Amino acid sequence: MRQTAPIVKSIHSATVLERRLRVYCLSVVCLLGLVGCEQAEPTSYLIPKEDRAVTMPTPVADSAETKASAPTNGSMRILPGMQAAADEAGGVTYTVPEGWEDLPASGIRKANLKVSDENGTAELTVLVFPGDVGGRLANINRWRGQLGLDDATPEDLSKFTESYSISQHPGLYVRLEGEAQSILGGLLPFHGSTWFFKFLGSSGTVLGNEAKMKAFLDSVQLEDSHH
Amino acid sequence: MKKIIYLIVYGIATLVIMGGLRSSKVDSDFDLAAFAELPVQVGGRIKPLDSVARNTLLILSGRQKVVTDEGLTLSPIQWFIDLTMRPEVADTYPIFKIEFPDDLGLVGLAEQGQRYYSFNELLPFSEELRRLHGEINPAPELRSPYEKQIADINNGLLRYHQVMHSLHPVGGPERLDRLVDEYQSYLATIQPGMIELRKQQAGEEFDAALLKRFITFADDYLKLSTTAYLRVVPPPPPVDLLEDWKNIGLELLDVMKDDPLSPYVTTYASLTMAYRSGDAEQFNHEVSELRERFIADFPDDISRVHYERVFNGLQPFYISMQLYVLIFLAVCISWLRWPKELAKAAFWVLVLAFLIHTFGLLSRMYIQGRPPVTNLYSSAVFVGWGAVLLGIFIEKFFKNGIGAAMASLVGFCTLIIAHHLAMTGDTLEMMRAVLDSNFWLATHVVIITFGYSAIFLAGTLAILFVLLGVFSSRFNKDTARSLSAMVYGIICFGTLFSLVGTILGGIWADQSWGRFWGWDPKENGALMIVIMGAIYLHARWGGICKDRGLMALAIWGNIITAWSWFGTNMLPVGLHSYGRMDSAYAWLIGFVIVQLVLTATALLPWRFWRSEFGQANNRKEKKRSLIAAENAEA
Amino acid sequence: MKFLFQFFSSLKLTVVLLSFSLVLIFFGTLDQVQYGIWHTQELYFESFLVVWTFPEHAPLGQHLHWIRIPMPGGYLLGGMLLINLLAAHFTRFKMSWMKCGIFLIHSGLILLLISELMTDILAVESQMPVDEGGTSNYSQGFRENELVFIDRSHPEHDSVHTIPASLLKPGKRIDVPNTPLSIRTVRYHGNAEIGRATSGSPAESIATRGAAVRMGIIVNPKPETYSEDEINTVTAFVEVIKGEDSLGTWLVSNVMDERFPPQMVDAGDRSFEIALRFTRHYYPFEIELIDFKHEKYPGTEVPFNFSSEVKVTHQDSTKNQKALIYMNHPLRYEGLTFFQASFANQDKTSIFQVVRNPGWLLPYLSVLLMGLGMCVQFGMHFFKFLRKQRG
Repeated sequence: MRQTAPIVKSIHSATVLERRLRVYCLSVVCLLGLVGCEQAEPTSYLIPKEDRAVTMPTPVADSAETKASAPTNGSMRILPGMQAAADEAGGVTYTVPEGWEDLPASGIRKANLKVSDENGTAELTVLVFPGDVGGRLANINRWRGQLGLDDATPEDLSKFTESYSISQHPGLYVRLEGEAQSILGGLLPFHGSTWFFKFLGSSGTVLGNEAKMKAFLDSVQLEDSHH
Repeated sequence: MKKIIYLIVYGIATLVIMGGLRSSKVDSDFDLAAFAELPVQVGGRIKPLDSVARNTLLILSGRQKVVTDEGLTLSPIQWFIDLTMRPEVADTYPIFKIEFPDDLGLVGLAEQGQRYYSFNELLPFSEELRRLHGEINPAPELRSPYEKQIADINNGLLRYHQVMHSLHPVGGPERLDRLVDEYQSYLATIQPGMIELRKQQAGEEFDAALLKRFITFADDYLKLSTTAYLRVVPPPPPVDLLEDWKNIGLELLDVMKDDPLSPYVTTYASLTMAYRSGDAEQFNHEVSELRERFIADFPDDISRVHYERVFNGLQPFYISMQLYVLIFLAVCISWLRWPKELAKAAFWVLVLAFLIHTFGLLSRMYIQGRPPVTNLYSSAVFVGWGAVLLGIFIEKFFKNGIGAAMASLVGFCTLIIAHHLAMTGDTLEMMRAVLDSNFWLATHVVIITFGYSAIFLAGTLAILFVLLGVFSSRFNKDTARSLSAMVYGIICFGTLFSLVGTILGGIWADQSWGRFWGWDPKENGALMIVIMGAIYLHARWGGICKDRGLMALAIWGNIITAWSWFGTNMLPVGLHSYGRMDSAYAWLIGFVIVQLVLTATALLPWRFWRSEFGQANNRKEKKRSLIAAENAEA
Repeated sequence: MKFLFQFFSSLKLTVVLLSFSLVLIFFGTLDQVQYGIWHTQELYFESFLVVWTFPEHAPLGQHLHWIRIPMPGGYLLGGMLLINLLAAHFTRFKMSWMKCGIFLIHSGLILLLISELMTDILAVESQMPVDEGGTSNYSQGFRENELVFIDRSHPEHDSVHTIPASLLKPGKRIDVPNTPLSIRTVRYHGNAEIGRATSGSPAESIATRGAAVRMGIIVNPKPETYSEDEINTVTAFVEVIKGEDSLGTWLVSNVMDERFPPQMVDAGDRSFEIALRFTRHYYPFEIELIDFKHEKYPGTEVPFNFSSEVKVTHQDSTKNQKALIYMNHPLRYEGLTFFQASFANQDKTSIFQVVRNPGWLLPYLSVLLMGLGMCVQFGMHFFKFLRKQRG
């Protein structure tokens, strides 16, 4: 079927059709013009009494389905008898950084140090537990929870962790910045147990003492009967 | 003489089918078939262990079999049973597929010509691999091939580890050979252990040794509960289908809360012990006992689980795929010799392959309880099915082999695509909430996918037109006319279905999200297909394009449909991002380039067309321009 | 004139316009990666002209960034297609039974285009989060903001005076309706980072009254985000004027919500709470969330159903209603439609999408027309084809 020159085959005259066409074109153009007139206006209205003190739920960005969150198994069940296990794990020696206070070890704490400065205070604890206590991600998320931060996904980890050697064994250095508080930490899987070096306190104090924290970690020597 | 042709073709087809069916038989004293049918809950549905074995192996190895160093071939369920019950043996099987081991930069790992590595071979490098994994790009879409390999290996090792822990706690031979005793002593320790625990918390004197034994158990099972991948322990009857099953670790831990230990746990333990000691009788007895218990607790599900295991073995899509190759070759040969016999034989094999393909689709629908298209994999299978169905109809009308050949080509290609899509795991996965509507899945999704089938088939026919027209001297006007009619009819069909499907999608969106059209990438893609069809039809009706132009437009339909089907999934945008893919980018670009080259070929001036048809048109064109020139001068 | 007829009704024009549409949709889809769906809709499909630039972040982006492709926008193409369709009908098509299929399809198409235009102009989408056991009588926009003055002095009701944020142009003075006040925008930021000044000298602020001064708040403007998952923190410095006297300059921002104590403007005999917030639409009814269910596939975190059981209490109690809102099953009430959109607070808060679109039925009508037309048209073709084959 070829397109021949349009032959206006109808009983209406050309002028009627012209007019109709013009009318339709105009109305389409008008419709489109309406688009431009979308301006909103200032208004005022009355509403039923509102209780100002109530916290309304904050608006969430539009999404037809919420991202499913991974099941968190980060809760560390400190089963009693961890004490017995901690007793069995070897001892630890270290160098106290300048200006830090060395407190006596107690219970399952293998070491306990404290430091204060003009920004606040911070405390470093060294703990050891058998097994991996849920795994690296779970432990880091537990620390994040203590700072009021959201859980991290495995893909996020590289943003605030790096490999770090502690007592000549491969471990993990963790740097978590919260709003008021922060944590610098070390995680060391060590022959069937995991050692936790957690430096927690006011952000200013913790982050300001990062160099000393790293020096502390470098100085840590674990009693090693395996090699 | 001519009858032999039929025999040959049918014979090859039969061989293909037999070959496919035979590979599912396994020879053993142990009742592996019954073991393979034991149910587990993974990903929200109850499936047989056989499916888990196959999917895991597919993810790790890219294929559903294991070839050991001694040359022995193992079926998935054989591998699985060794993995869970004889891990020391399974660790020696080469199952981790590493395409480019040299690229990993791990000194000492790569063996010349070796693509599959065992766990023991990877073990010395695991620390290094983990470190490398921490350094790669966190966003999966942005990773380089090297980083993807690292991620794949690490995820594979993790999955291996998790599946290994699924039936019972893991340990050396000393532990696995005495699992039942271990559970007994655990059960016996719980009560006294809890008492000592309370004493310790109250600050009283307690038995440290006893407490420590209890704690060691608890800690071990706690670790197990976070590692075990499969949920093998159903809740005690009466049973609710929506209730979570527990994995081994959780069940063992829950015993501390005074829940009785589920008999499934102890039975799996005795199964392991029986297998390790080679006691086939005991093994088979335990398996049938487990099976009976499952039938009693879940009377409605046993037939579906059984069917799924049988279906896994049949591999109907693989069989169809091979038959499509046979059909294509037969038709091509039929254009050179024995036209009547080969074409007829090919036609009937096509019908057979189509029936097998249909059987596969229907089985999936039965197992999943859903309409045929639920994810990217099933859409690929369905596109092939739709194209073959249309091809059969065309063949019936035109009887020149073209319909059969092109349909089998599309069928083969889509099944290959589906095979690659299956590498990511379970293709019978559950649907997200907003997709949970059988009505819309059966209408909108199926109709749009059928539209894809039609457009691809039309595009393939157009490619045939162009290739024959430009390169083959025998392409004549009759063939050209029938091909042209085929393409036109199929595009009408495809445009109709795409339009209806898109509209249905709009209605579904209006019911779900409050707007008929949201300019979402997938919606845009579907609209582009409809517009493409409209362009073709209006160009044809208006005489704006003739044969070459129309064929070029039809080939463009391939590009637009491929973009709509896969390209829009690759964009990280919008409400439609359910079918994610990371690696097919290069394939898509390659496909588009090929189609562009073919389009350019279609638009070559007539004098380059070697065929009879092309030369006739060339002469007509020359005559027309001569006459026009003459008229201009006069 | 005859030439214009021929031009506007020609099939060639149809094919050209359709091809441009194809190109527009393709490039629009590509740009959705960086601009998000909604903004791309404005740029590409609700405009007359648009220019596509090769995105810098794409592969080879640094080298090909100079590539710019202008193309006609959605309104231009849609408008011309409409004219083309109408013109073709009135010049070339005869009314006949043979063509009635095509007539039906085309009229359905025309209706669809018009309904989409109406949706663009008239539809309003907003969000309503409701806590379990709680109620809500308003919904909020996610992109539109408003500057409000609230007078809570009356014991029976509150009086809300609002100015849409789109009117807040720096330097422009606007009267606050039904109050003796007017405002002048000193500064306006589409997105900003708000924080408190840390130790050290507090930064100078334009604000002279209110929380900004009391809490030492600093504002850092940021580029607007188009991502679906992020909110733009719309912020402004506004000077409140009564008659000829300035009552001070206030910092307002949509992040300073009910968690902050209200900022009060003292206008002599009345005092107003001043705030910038997402535009609220109040309704003459309350929705109470009785129960929210989030069902997952067993053993997984994959959701398979969300449902909210709600009770609607209208000021006119004859319109009270109970309903269950879940996926693919909205509540249509009083010209509004409520969809189950999302949830928060560990399944304790359900979030509804509220849509007011008076033209919501039009697409259904057009679909009916098109469906009928297609059955007729293709049915006729198919039977003709069959008859030819048999003959």
